[in-house]
Amino acid sequence: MTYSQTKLLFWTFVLLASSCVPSAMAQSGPEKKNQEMVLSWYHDVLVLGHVREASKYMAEDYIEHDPRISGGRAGFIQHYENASARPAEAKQTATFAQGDYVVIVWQHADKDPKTSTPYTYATYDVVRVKNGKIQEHWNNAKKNSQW
Amino acid sequence: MNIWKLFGGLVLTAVGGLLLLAQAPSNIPPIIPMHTSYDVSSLKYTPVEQDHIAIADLFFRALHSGHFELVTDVIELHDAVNHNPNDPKTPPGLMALLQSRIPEPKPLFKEQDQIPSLVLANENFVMFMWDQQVKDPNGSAYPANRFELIRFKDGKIAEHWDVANRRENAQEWKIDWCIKAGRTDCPTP
Repeated sequence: MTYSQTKLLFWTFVLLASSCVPSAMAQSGPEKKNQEMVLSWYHDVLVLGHVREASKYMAEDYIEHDPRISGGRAGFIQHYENASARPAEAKQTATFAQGDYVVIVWQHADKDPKTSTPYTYATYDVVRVKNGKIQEHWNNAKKNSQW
Repeated sequence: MNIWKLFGGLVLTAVGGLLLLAQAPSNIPPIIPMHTSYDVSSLKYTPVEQDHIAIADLFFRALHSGHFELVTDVIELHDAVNHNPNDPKTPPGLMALLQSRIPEPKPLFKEQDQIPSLVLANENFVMFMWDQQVKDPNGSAYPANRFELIRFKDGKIAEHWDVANRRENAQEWKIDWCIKAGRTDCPTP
């Protein structure tokens, strides 16, 4: 599959998924734009690992709060160059924008490590956008987080 | 003094550990409980979102300080869904679990670390983020973030997500407690 086809498939998925997310969100034009950009960044750079695209989305003085990553944008790129660091696709539980911020809450499926019972759990990404670029990112990762 | 803005122009205030309900003067600005160094200048909330934030703040404080009588007023008691995979599935189960850990209520407004560093809301969703120090396996502290998301329905809490899973933070004691308590709303082990 080509890069363009992958992108088309992703946006089709986003449009379908957003129609299933509970509650219609009231958002301004800039907020909607920020949200779309952040979703595109997440899929392109984090999930697919197209780290060369990072500068298209992320400010030069980008601040990363994930405790596994240091060194701003360069450190972020170095971290996600490693395929094992990339997050798996997950279902969007909630996605909304408020001011300069975009929130994405993901639902992951997993199995209990002892009993193999299937269960789901949530993870968070919060991003601050300014002038069309991602300035800052927080998530719930700890130093030993595996995704 | 802490002030929580509620529905219909009412405010809930805490003075000397006492909770007071009063009519808000019209010139009181919306109170968003946040201790932050982040740039929050772009945040603007509707009156409904402000109410949701105030209720969510009260909910977290009441739950973690053992004031369960306040929790029952703000949550859909029989229909709310808690998505933590280690917790009992119903609000009464969650409160019974916490009551076993907090037998005596603690001061509702004393714990400064309960104040979030970022509060984001959009219509029925409210997200709280806290900055916290956690320890690595060697005991060295480092900064990380904790999150909670709440969905409101008709002004009450209808759904809640936090960040627990069964690998990094298994919390098996919760499942053990639930089974030993003979409850019917336990998560599947």
